[in-house]
Amino acid sequence: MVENMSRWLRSVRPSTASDEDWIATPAAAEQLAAVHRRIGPASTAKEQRRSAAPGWVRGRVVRKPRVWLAASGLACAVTIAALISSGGTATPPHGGITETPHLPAIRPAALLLSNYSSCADVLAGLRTHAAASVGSYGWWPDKRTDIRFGIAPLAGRQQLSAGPAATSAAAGDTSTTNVQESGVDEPDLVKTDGGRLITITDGVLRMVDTASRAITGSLDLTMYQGWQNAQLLVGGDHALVTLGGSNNGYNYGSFSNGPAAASGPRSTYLFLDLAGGPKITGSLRAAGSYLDARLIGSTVRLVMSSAPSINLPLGAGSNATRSAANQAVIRQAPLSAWLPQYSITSGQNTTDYTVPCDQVSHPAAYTAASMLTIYTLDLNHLGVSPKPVSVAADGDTVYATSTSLYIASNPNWCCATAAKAQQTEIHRFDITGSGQPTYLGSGGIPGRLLSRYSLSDYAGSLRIATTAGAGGSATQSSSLYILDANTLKVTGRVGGLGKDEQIYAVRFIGPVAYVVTFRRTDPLYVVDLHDPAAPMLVGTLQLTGYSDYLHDAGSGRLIGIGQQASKTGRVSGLQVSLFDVSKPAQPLRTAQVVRSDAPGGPSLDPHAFLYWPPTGLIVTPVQSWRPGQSGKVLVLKVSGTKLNTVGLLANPLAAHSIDDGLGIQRSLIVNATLWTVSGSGVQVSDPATLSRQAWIPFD
Amino acid sequence: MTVRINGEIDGEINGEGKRVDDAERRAVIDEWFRAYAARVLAYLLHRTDPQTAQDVLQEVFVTAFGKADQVPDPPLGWLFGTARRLLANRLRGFRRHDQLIARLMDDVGEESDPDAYELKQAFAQTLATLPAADREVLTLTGWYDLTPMQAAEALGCTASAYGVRLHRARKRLADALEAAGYRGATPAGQFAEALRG
Repeated sequence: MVENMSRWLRSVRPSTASDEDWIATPAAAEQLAAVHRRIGPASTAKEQRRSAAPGWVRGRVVRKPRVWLAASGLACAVTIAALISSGGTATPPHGGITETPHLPAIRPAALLLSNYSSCADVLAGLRTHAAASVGSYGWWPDKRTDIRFGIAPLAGRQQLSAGPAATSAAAGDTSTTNVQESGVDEPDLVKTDGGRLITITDGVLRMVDTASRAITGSLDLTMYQGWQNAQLLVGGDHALVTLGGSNNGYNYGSFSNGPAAASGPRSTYLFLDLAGGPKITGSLRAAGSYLDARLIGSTVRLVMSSAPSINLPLGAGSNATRSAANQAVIRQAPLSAWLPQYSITSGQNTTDYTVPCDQVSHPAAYTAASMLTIYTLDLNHLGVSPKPVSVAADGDTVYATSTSLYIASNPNWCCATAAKAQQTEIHRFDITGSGQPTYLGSGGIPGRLLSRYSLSDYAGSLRIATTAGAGGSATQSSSLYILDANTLKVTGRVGGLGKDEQIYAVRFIGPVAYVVTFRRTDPLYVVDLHDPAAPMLVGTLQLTGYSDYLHDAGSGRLIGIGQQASKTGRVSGLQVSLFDVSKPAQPLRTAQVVRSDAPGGPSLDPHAFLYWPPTGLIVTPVQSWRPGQSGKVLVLKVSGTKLNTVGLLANPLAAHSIDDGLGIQRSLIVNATLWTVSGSGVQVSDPATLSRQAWIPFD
Repeated sequence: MTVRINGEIDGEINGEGKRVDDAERRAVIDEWFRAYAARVLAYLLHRTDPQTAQDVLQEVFVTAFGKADQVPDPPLGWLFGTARRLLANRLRGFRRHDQLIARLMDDVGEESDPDAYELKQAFAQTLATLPAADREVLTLTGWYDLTPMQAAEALGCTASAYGVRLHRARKRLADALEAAGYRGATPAGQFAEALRG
């Protein structure tokens, strides 16, 4: 009898704090209040970014709605958490970060154009807009009014940024991990210059000498908050480690109805000297959450989002009473509540700074519920002033070319039924050279972004792919917009892509866009963007399954990584496709490899994918949820219009681990050999035969 | 098929899209929270530390808010499914193992009744030897008052697939109990018999 068994099961159930009328306690009320705070527009936009960001990025919640659909199609797949525990010991090699009293804000010699004429105006503007944004539950009005987009006055510069075509940067016989725009490096878990390989796994940074294939130094990062999300940027003998902010990644954590919190979450960036083994030489701590970073030459642009530190009363009473109380607090808030604070530690000395109010700009419309700040660092001179600029705006997705940086947000994505309400806001910054960025203006288009790959700056145009309409409804469809990069005004649009479907992948290659949408079948759309005023859908290819990552293989060929699916949309394993797109009107699939033994896992993190043009090698991860088995990589070779399977490659498991849930996380070509990095170590293999040349275990 | 629109974007952005349903959705979330949050929290507290449990609990309801039109009503199975996935992702990201067995062992340590002690110890020790999928299906079935449909929904599978999985998990737990010497009239022995149905 099921009832009988249930009674037995029940008798062995440990009791929990939530069993005894927990819902009637203040603790439950606090949890519900926290839910409402999190439902705020910017925090949900953040959630959207996280769910939209593809991949197995460690420490980030990776859950796409469609993964869900896919999972429900599988036979009751119960996923199993990784059975590995961090083996790192936490003995701080560094004195930590000390706080010293505030120093006066640094005033730069040359003032950049700002939309405010005085600090008093800055404060007045922030208060007014914030009061209009706040509601009874917190930082959003009870009835949102539409945000009207407008272009802020431009700073007089009219630079055209002819973005380079997105081809793989291949220097000699060593690859980087995959990046969106060549010459614009992204923080990642692995970096190499051919001579040394630097990895971060399980919170430990290691340097590997690629000639002797030995670990030459390591650094435990686990005593720093946010180590789970640690990534690095490297230039020469210097490196910058980005750490996540607060564990949950929400940047609205500073609002509480308790005693005045300090200043909300802070994010830490470590300065490393690699010359004599990795050594921390200093750090930057800045208010808010880390969004993303880019490295161009030796110049790092760090993008942060911070919330004003204002303790809203969030008290009892009617909505109107609470809104009024919240507004009253905002109208009295000092300017320092909004201005992001940061501190620089160099050696033993820590100095605190505040972003000066003359470095604060704003779009024509803004909520004043969050601030975006760009810090600029030179890897060769870490520790000097990071020259921050702030814009009173919301943002979560960062995209950059070598000359322009864009921050986008979906401020209203939460309200999926109001199709017209879904808008993407875009803020553009000039990042030419190594100086302070210049805020150029903002614009907006309807719909939601999939990821940073939805954005592309090319020949003076910003191209954006969005999906609008409620998920799963017939109103859902996708569009490609072309904006004049200088004015952020729409010059052209192609709409109606994938009715009732959402974008799974988008890739801009020169003047052409490739878009994949999926519900049951996978249309691959080819859109000609030569004429910014008249983009045109020129080709469509209907297939089963879908691709969620597209990569240029040159010579009119396109690689698609995704899932095979039945005609009813049920996914059935990893699929790699090779498309011939040399005739845009007639895209063809010329080759396909399906691994039905590979489960339909979360979608691909572009950083985990490798295409190596000199030999046509494709290395892409294959997940496995089986205990005792490590995630592998599938190695293929593009030859002409064919795909040849080289094989599956797994890294050995570490002696101390039962399994290594994530398996191989990154693959690179270093001095013409294949290097695969997992939590257990680095394997060096012959890329043609996959025979092992070396195994460098992490202890 | 090709749609070209120039200069019509303003109208679309500044149209009449009023989010009148925002307050309604919040009310629905409040209602669901009051009815189901305690059970979801219990699930999380059985598997992770209280801080993470609270974080994930909040995420579950924030997610429910974002997808309110897609969440079935009653939403219990969906809420559990979301909690499971959010927690699994988090554990995976932080490279941690779920703490279910540790919780059970703690609970054994606090048990003063000798029969209950033996039963709980037998359960914790044998459950630890089963695949995580079996643990999940057994505890979801017995601990949170989910209907079979809701448990299936939480696991992301059909009711029949859930039935098969539960049947196998019951058999494996019963086998494990017997293999560990829990037989006959002892509480754990009776438990094994009940599992065989």
